[in-house]
Amino acid sequence: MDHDTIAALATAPGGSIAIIRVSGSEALDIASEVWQGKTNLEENERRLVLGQMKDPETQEMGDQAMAVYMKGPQTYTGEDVVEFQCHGGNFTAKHTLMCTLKAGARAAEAGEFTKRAFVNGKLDLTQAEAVMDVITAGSEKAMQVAVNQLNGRFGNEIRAMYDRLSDLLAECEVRMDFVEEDLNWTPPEMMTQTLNDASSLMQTLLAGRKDGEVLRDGVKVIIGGPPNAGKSSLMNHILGRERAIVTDIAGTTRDTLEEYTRIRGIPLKITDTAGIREAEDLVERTGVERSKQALNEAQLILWLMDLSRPLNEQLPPEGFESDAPLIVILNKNDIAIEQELPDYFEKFQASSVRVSVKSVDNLDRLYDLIEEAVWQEDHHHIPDVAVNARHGVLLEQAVQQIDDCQACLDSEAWELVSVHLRGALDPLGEILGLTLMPDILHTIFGRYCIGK
Amino acid sequence: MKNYDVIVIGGGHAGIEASLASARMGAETLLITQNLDHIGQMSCNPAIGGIAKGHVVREIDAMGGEMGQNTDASALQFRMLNASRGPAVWSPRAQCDKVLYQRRMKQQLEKTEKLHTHQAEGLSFVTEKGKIIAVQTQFGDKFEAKAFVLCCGTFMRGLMHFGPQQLPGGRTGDTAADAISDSLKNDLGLELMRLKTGTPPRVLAKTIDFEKLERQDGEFGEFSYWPREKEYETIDRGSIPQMPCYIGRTSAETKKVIADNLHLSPMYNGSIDAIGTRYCPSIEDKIHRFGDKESHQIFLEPEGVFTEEYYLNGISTSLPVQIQNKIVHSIPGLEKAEIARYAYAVEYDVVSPHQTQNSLALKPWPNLFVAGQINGTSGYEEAAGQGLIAGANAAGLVAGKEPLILERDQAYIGVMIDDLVTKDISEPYRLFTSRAEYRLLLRQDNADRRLSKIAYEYGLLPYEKFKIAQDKEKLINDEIERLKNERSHGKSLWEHLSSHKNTYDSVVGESHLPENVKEQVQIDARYECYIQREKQQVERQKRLAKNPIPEDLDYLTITGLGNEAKNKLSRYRPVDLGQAARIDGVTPAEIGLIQVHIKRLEESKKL
Repeated sequence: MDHDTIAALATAPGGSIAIIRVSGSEALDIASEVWQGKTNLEENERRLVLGQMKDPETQEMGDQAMAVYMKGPQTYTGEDVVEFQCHGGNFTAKHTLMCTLKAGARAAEAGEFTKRAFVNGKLDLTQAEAVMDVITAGSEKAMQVAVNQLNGRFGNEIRAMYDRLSDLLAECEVRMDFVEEDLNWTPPEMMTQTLNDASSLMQTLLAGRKDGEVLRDGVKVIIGGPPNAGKSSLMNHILGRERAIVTDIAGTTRDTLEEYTRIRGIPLKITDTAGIREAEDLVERTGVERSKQALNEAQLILWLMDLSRPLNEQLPPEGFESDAPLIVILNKNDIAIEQELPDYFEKFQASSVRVSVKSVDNLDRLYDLIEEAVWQEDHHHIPDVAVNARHGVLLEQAVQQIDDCQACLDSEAWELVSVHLRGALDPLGEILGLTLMPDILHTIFGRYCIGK
Repeated sequence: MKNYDVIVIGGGHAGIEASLASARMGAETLLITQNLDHIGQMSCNPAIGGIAKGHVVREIDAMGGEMGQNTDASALQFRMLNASRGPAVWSPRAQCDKVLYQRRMKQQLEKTEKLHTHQAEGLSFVTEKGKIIAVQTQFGDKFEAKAFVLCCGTFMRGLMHFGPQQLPGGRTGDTAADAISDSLKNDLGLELMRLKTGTPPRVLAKTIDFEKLERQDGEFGEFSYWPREKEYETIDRGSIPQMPCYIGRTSAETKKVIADNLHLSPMYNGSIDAIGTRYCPSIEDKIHRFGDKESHQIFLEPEGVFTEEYYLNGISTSLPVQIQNKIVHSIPGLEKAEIARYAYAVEYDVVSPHQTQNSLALKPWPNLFVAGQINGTSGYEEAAGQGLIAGANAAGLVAGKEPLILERDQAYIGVMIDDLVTKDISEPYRLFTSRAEYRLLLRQDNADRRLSKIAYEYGLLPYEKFKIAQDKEKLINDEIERLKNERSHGKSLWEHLSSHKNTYDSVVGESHLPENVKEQVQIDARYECYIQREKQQVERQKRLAKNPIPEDLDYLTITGLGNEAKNKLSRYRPVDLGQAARIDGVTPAEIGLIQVHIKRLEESKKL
């Protein structure tokens, strides 16, 4: 590899230890200019060696630092890599990085280590994407999924299907390009089987798309309810801190406000709404409009009502409709008047829970319900792999092509089967970061006895 | 010494089309070849066309070339391959009388205005101030010209292998051309590489037991889009007897003979270094690699009306001649067959194609064009297609025209040449329909519709032929328009026609239109939505191709490019990002890097 050598801080700023990573063919040379160790770095490959940083211009010795040398291509980037571990602290880390730059390294651009790993074939595109997800994972479960993807699980499944469809394409091409050969054809049922397998794999992956989005982007949760039912207090509790202005005057929360948090490992994007009941005040009305829009986009609705007032007066506004799961929270358990859950909620198949936000009573039960609602469909476990929006669009294209392909296969229109197979391989290849068609002739000559 | 505009060296299938194209464009053209009687010789099988190759013959015909008409005038049998599949992969093929093919072709060249044929061996190129100015022959003649086309087939340092025996030669009966190969290396500094191909034995008809073989007859059909020329009616279909082919099979005995003697094959004992073809393997290759297959097909093809020789398609071999007899005798029907000519393999020099441009001019020598097997292809049709383009561009260069370059969405010839200049060659290149990404656009039935206008505008196709194509196009479009407007059962006739089950006759009924117009209307209807899609893909590709790469771009300075990509790109020097993306071993991510790099260069130039 003869890319130029790049360097950057590989740990988040502010930690007690900082790692500076140097990657490229000159990593070792640069190390010898900026660091002096007790033993030779090259001879101690993949071992941490203690030493001291040194300024390559002034030759002044600096802070203590550990260094490790890893020879490519068995490294993250596929290139020679040297890492320095030095004391955290803004100055020390910066100084170490400056030394490597003075010695000839170039400051890496954002994501450049990962980009090199991709270019050098160490990661496929799904894995490269996963690196970003791991870094920014908002929850443990999201992390787990991203790590799975990084380990190539998603890529491997797509890759396996890509290879099977390539074989099918080869077969189809042989039928057109080598008509006079007496070859053993794959029976059409087996070709259909491959198409079915491809289709169902992709459908499964697509079905997991929602979960993927949930883990990546958070579930969109709306907290709604009449003014002064305790929405802002609930939100503060969930967030574990003061956020919304809480007063006794109804309608003080004027706008939709988004916050991110986690409950039981599930990332939530919570929107607190202004009172959804018709408001007199014009200023507040703009907020109400936005709240209605937010309701429509919600993936989970928490409808909060005050048990100390008649529940029938606190229902959602007329015309309210939603397919999202609805949890009715009956607040102020402690000062409740005796009343049943209104029949209104039956058509929404809502679950309900009595709590007291103020005295933190029964909130665990609320969290149980939230967890159930998020994972209610199909699975009660975390998906193995998560499909992001880019994958989703491409998988949908591929699925469509596979369905059309089956119709052409039935009428033995091989030239059209080929069009659709190529049409399916294209987006799958794009998911993996390969957009060139596979070398079909190579497959053909490997598998068939061709040539009269 | 007389001065020419264009000199073509080599009178094979590439040289023929090159010299005809050049002369038809008005350039004074000289064709030099070792033996004038061997012009247009079919050195291997006695057939023209086949899968994808038939498409090329029709493309040559549509552009005013000679191969199609010459095949029609010497055909012993015509077949449309793949006729049971979709029209996009139908492929015409004809068995030809080899001698008739040669004779007519020779005279066709001789009759062409401005084309001069001359028997001599071109030995070396003469250069002056970095430009090629002349070619020297063994007689000491120095023929000067403004452009040159080199088409020496398998003749450059040709070496034939009959088992362990080696004989220099371009093919049996012809001497090799070693001097020109040396001149390319030493005078022009070109990089050459070695390839290998082979040909099977020929046996005599009276020693074949045809009863034990399966007979295969032809059907009516022809290659050319144009009306037959009057003076050739004498040797037209009807006066040439039609001849069948025969199919036989190898036996268990064949397998044993080959297994016992495999060590004697130069391909297996290491005495041939060159790389052979995977799609046209020797019989020993087939039996060695696919050992579980009990029997292989053999096609017996007649070599002509005036000979009793049959070509044994399927047992190309480089085993020693004694073993060849045993192999032939192990085949039911050929137990007593006498071999008239032995099979052999031939090794030869080719010009490494990374030195060649899409116009077929060499990058370091822009007035020298190369066409045919010298570029690493195999097949008469592939050679002829390149010859046409090389000849047109040589004459075009002399006339000060922009080069004629067919795109991948315009012709199989375009696909082939683009493949040659972007892909690594490890075996002789043959066309397949699967090499074309726009297979439904590039059909054998519509080559005239695709190419006649281009050829007419470049000066290759005479107006009378172009007019025929134009009139046909008008009839097709008018009929499509009519069918789109006429309705029955709530749908237009056009929509009815697009359904797979319907044909033109079943939807439209009686019609005064010619068959070839009805056929086009039906195929257009059937593929309409697919062709729309292919056209969109073409557009997408063209957007990438709109990113030209500066000629002097230094790939070594682009951050992030892998070593393989740097080497390949520096070697092939693609003209645009589209072509760069087609180079083996260059990843899409790297194309992105190059794109960004070029943008940055442009930005910095603006400042």
